[in-house]
Amino acid sequence: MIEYQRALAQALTQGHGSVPGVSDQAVAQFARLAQHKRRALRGQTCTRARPRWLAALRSAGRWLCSPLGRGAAS
Amino acid sequence: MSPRVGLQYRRAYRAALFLNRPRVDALELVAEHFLDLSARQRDELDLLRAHFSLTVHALGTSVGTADGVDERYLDKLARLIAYVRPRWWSDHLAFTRVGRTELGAFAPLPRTAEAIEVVARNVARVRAVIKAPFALENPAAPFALDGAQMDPGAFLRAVSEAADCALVLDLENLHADGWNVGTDPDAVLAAIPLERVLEIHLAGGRPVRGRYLDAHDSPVPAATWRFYRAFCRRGTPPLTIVEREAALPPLEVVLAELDTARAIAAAPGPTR
Repeated sequence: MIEYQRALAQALTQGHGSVPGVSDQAVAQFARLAQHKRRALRGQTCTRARPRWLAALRSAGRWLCSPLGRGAAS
Repeated sequence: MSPRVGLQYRRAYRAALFLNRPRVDALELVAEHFLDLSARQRDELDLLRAHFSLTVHALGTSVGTADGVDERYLDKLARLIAYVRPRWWSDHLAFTRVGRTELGAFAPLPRTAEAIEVVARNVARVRAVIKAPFALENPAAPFALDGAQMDPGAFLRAVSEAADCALVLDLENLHADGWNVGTDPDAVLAAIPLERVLEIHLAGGRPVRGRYLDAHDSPVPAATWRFYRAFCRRGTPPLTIVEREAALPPLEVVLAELDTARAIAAAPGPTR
């Protein structure tokens, strides 16, 4: 299970790498859906600013805005 | 049991909430909005605690992370929950962190015995630190994982039993799962242990590029109301929370959904 979790994290944060048991298309869709949800929640695009609620989620670590999409990571 | 209904607390609703207290039995606080416990946040919590029954809903416990929970996050959460003294608190059956990497979304767990062991181990650690009753919520599944050893309803049941915790059943997430990964919501409803469900979540999303986004920015859709009626035919949920997180309408719109939920839960079985 830890291999799956590390692979998914790498795919989401670095935008490459396969995830065991998941198609590349599904991972890309996941990244897009997560991005849409974050945009809906904040009503802003990720490239403008790190959404406040994501920043508040953790004081440490990184919550990436668009791991596989066009936008730059925050 | 008389049905209790409430909504997720949004600061924009604060004044209107106090004008409509009789229609709101409880508020769900998003833990991440108060984790710092600043002076302003304490003032706000004091005010809310004095007038409403509260639950705490966390986003970042990551009980599915194979290498354990984040002790710093857990410490902050424990301080918040000790301050609020909610009837119970909850987080999602998912992982949001791998090592030091935050995913920024609820990632799905494989429905396997190994995942159940991981969650049970992490929940045991969480409960050792936070004594308030804990419930796990079914998140929306963004994709189906190969190698599932059980169906979604059996997985929820097995996790709740192994971790000996309660459940928050998000019916909108079930709706999304039916759309996105082919889950049969009625089968999940039939499989879950009713006695462990402390709270029902209702919300609304929308289609995006052929997928269903559980955006919590829309009215509760008809399908989710249908699942709610189906649940209520089996028993009255202790608490129902309507979650509206974005595109906030006037509070009256949300309160009307609370009224609907209350009426459904209070109706005699056959008319639900």
